[in-house]
Amino acid sequence: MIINIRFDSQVRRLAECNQTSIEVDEAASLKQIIRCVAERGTESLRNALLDESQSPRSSLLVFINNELIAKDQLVTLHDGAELTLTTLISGG
Amino acid sequence: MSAIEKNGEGGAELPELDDSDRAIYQWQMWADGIGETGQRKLKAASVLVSRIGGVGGTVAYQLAAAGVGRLILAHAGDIKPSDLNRQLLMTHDRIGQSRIESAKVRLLALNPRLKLELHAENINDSNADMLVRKADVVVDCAPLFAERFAMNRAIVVQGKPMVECAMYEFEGSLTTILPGTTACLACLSPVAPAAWRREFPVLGAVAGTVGCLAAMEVIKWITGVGETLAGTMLTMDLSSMTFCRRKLHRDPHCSVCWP
Repeated sequence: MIINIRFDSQVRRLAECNQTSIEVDEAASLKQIIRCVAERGTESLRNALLDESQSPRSSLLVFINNELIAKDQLVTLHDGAELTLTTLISGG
Repeated sequence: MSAIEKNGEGGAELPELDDSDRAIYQWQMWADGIGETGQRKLKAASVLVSRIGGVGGTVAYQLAAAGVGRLILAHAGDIKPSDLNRQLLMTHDRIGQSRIESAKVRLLALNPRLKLELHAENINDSNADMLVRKADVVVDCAPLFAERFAMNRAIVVQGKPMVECAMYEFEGSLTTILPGTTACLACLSPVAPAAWRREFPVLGAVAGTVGCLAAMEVIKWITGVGETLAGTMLTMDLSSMTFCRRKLHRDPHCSVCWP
């Protein structure tokens, strides 16, 4: 299935694009999807998305169709779902 | 229910408006739901603003204009030339002088009735509890996550609402945290994002937009008018004028707010 990935805030800058699409197995977990995105991206993006153990960073925010999802949550994604990867920002 | 309503039934303990208040806030009191009671709630309110730069300075200015009775402001350091593209409480003639003193002059020029409590220091683990205790509601506009996390811990312990607002380049984000009810800052991100840097791209108009929206959250919470962003994060990209509301959830593993 095709998942549309949208990047926001600093993650967008590191990804060097606003959005992308990836094809994954229907049984793919959120963690696998994030790893797949990281592997296709720049080194800076990989560092922003994954920690040393190649798990999604605790500071990474994942939204599916604009709802916050815990990264270890079992989710069923449908073809064409929009997944947003971002982090908090702190500029004041 | 806002903290101001808890202070008294039917506004009985709220401060009276004088002729000067009525002259200044007449048009504002015409807004649906504000009226004289809403204006008295604003006059009774104390709001803590952490940092009064591009975002927080706009928050403070809008709250002073709206007639909030007391502002507690925390911001260290002296004015630098690079502040002046966005920090509207700072002025060119005061470069090298205290930011907090410049803010005092600007805010009192707009609203001489405003009660100000000024702290020429930034939020940290040592002062957060003391400063939060003085306020009915808190606005977090700090550029460093360490300050934001210190404030978050304090508001969770004291059960005070906090408007959490931030910007980066053309983007902004905003939510209202109600401890025990909505996600706290640590629910969203227990640590600072690895890529965050102290210096960030910033346009004054973006910071000011976020500041105005944050001030509106405070006004809504104080007066009870409308709906706040509790449980929802508003994100915006002003380069494309894209606004998005995102639903947030508490983290049942949060070390700060989960019992």
